[in-house]
Amino acid sequence: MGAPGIDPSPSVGLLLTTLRVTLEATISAEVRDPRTGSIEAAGYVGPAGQRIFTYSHLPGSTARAGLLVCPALLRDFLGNYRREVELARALAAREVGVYRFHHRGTGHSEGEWLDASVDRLCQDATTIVHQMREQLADVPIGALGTRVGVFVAAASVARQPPEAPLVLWDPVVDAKGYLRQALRAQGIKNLRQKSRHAPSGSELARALVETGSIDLLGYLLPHSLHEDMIAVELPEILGDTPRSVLIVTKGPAPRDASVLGAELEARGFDVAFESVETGDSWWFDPELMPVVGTEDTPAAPAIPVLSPYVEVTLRWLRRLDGEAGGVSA
Amino acid sequence: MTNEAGIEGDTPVFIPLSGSHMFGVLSRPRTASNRIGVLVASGATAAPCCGRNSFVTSLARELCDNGFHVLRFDYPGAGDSPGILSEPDFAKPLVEEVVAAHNWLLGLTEVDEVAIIGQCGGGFNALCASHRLEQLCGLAMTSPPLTPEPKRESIVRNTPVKELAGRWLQWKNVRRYLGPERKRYAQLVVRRLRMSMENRASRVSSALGWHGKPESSDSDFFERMEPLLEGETRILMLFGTQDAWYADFAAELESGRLAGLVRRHGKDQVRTGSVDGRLQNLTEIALQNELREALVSWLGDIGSTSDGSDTSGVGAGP
Repeated sequence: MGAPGIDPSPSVGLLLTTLRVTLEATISAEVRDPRTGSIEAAGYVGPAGQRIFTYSHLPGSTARAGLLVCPALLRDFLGNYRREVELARALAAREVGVYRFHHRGTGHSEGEWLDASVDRLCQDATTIVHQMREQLADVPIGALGTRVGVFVAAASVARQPPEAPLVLWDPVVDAKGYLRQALRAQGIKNLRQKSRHAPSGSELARALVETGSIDLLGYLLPHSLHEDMIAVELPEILGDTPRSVLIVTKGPAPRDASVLGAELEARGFDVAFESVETGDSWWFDPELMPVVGTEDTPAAPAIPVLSPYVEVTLRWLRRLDGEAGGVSA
Repeated sequence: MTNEAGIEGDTPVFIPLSGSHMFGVLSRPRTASNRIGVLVASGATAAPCCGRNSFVTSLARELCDNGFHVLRFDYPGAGDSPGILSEPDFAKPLVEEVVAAHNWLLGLTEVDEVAIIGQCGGGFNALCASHRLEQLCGLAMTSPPLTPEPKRESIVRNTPVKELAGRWLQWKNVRRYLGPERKRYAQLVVRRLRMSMENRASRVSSALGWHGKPESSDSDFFERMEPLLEGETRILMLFGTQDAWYADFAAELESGRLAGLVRRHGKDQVRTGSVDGRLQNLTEIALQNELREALVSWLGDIGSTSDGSDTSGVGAGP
């Protein structure tokens, strides 16, 4: 191997590290978990300047199913990240191949975030699904989406056979309401931190239209993306092929999620609801809204080994597997 | 495969650590390498090392354009690394993690020396690890925790308003309010007044043993800086005026141990700066840009081995 600083000893318990450079400009590094036998590979796919960061979790044996994890965006991206990693590792240990990725312009990926649109987000997911197909052959590939990531997950799973399930974590069904909440959170942050740049919610909404983007809690929200999100309807994206859908919400399902579930059920989808109790809030968690003073800590509290979102999802997938031979958990 | 394949741009890597590994991303320069590696040690949160709004990713790419190799990594239990994230503990800094990442970076054939950027707790981790790090040419710490709890804020929070007002009306303080730094002092006064009023009903100053003279910050932090400076490592300390430890930092820089370090080693070797707002968590894009500019400028000075100039875009201190 020869990489400085890497101990090639088998006692490390890892098969470190392979680096592949192919004509498709895919670069990846791999590790094997000796406990579960699953293989994790991180890499980039796509042309230079537009490369998408991807992280796969493949079982040591042949995968019986696949799951594409479509990440949350903006502030939710960091807040939800570790849950997605936990779920991926748990599923890989149960013979499910999982792929995670960062949209272009976010995370470790290349590209310009200001150019983001719902179409481009869906293209990113399609690129990863192609890669999954090469690895996983013909198994059904389900999708998981969180918050506004549900649009991408729905578009991705719509092209899959009916056995492929869809999991939605706290889906954002109403993009206008999402922006309202975001502007309110930004306004409260400005008030509490006495920010130098402290426009009101309505001023921010105006600025979004006039300048093409706004600073939302330290993230750039492009106007074009927001307009896209308002224009698309989740049930339409999901298509007409009935499939199993799990909707997980923090606390009792809000009205828009209930309406979404009812609409899908009316079209023949098998919809299940799960609610979880966590102390977090998507907009107002301790990391996001530190109180100035001695109780202000620089780091978020440790995350439990398995979050409730992961637990209920694993349980549902296990039940699904028992009923229909789909994705196993 | 090796890390010496000479691939430009970002490459995912796995850094061995005590029988497991940490995930990281190595950014290689597209231009000629200046043979300096930059290790970014983020605060110990569960978030991935790309940072808020991909701040670290974009910083790494900008530094790459200037010839640096940049490694960012996830602590165990954070981002894409396996394991469970430990609770932040001032008494148990994540030293082994920083040492492992530093040694990995220094092991690259294109890297002769390393500078570390430590954000919040990451800065403290790096400082605690520094005695084990070879070829450390620079250490930048943004909003590091100087003590387990911000001491001066504790004192102020627990001091009756009447006493605070008496201190603020002393002539030496009045002169400051009228001087060139009056805006910053005014912000401090307003903030402290607010905190004190919030707590006046429930707390008394004697609870913390305050006898009219501010305590210094924990001596350990600044003592750790001394051997680094004697070894000619450059240090940069940046705070936001709304950061938790800003008041401690300001006091130290004015007349405490930090002031002594600056006096003895010079402003080029110990550079300090502050920005209006809150650098912890970086919840404003404007602040992200200011911080990026300051770090790139400071590292540029190290890269060019110049004697340094004022950190652009950042005030010289409180």
